[in-house]
Amino acid sequence: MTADIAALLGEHLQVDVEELARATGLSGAEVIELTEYGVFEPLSGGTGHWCYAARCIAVGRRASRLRTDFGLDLHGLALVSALLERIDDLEDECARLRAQSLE
Amino acid sequence: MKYKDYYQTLGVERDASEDAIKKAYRKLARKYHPDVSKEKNAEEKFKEVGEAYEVLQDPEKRAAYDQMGAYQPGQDFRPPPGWGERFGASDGFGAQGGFEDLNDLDLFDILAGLGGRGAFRGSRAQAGATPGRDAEVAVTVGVEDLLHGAEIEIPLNFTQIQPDGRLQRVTRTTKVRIPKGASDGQRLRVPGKGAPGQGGPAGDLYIDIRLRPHELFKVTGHDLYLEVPVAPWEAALGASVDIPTLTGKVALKVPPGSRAGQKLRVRGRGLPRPKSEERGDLYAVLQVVTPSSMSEQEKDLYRELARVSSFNPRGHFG
Repeated sequence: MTADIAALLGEHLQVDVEELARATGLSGAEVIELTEYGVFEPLSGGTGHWCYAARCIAVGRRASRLRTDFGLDLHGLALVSALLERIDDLEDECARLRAQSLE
Repeated sequence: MKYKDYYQTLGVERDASEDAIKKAYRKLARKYHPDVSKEKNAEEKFKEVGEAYEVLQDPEKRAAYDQMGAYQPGQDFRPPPGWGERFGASDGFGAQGGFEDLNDLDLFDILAGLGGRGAFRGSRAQAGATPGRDAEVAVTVGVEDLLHGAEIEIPLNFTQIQPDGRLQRVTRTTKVRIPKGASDGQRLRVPGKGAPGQGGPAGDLYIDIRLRPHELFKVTGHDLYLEVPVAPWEAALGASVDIPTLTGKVALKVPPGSRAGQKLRVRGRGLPRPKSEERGDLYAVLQVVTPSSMSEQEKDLYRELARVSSFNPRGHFG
């Protein structure tokens, strides 16, 4: 069996609005609105024609799940996403500090 | 087919109102949603809760479920005669509503096909191409896998609709190459390796990398941390000590006057960075340790050191 190569969804791979929408299950209009709310940080491009790091796919898929499972509107979704991003950052910082102190 | 008590899963009575079901779901979703929960088995619990809600919040699916009867959770059961015809699922049950082909199916697979998204209604097959669902899996790998890249086999379960409209549960194993440069928490995508579509493209496979703890190294991003015990005299006088890395031993220069907790960087001995020949760094964290037992001669030498030294480690206390 030949192995399929998995693509890292990080900073090196870029996606446009259409691809981000397709990969997340959000509509293009929702991607644009969530970008305006700061959920997605575009790397380049003008309004509606942005390019994003592929890591935004994971952020968007989580947002899409939360919207579906909790019935959130886009304002609520933007707030929840921002708070979850902060928690992610804090957990990363905790993990880094734990590694340094070799707990 | 095994029975699932969706009312019990949501903690509501069988005659609960739609509003009560919604409230119960929201409460449990907040508790178990894997994106916000730290509960053990949150993912599994949420799947059960979501499945129960999908059935009970839809009047047609709920009616079909209720008509199946009530059994003990996990109990083998057969829907009553005529159930398939009544709820438009006869195609999926084979001729005359026979259930012999459904033994390995999940109750939810059958109910999910009702309510206009019919998995086994002719209407779906005629409705046109339907893309397959994306699949998401968490995969645990070792540090060495991140260093060299790795090939892993991922078994995925799908429910497929056969040309005759019957549902069939299939397991497909996909072999995936995890490239160098991944890290703990990294997301990866394999296009077209999710669930097969019905006349449309297959979904994608998303992989969430989880790192198995290593015996010696702590990992953060692409950097490694290693606890390096040193003797008091090595810390005081300096030394060259051999330490392990992921690619063999290296000599670490411990400078004179080192202290416990001091971090010494060994450049480029961490994990590979994505799309780059560079690697993260290895940090040796010094731990000054003393022997658990000493000979009289060793004790005398320490006493002599204490006598001649003017060093006061607590001088700043005043």
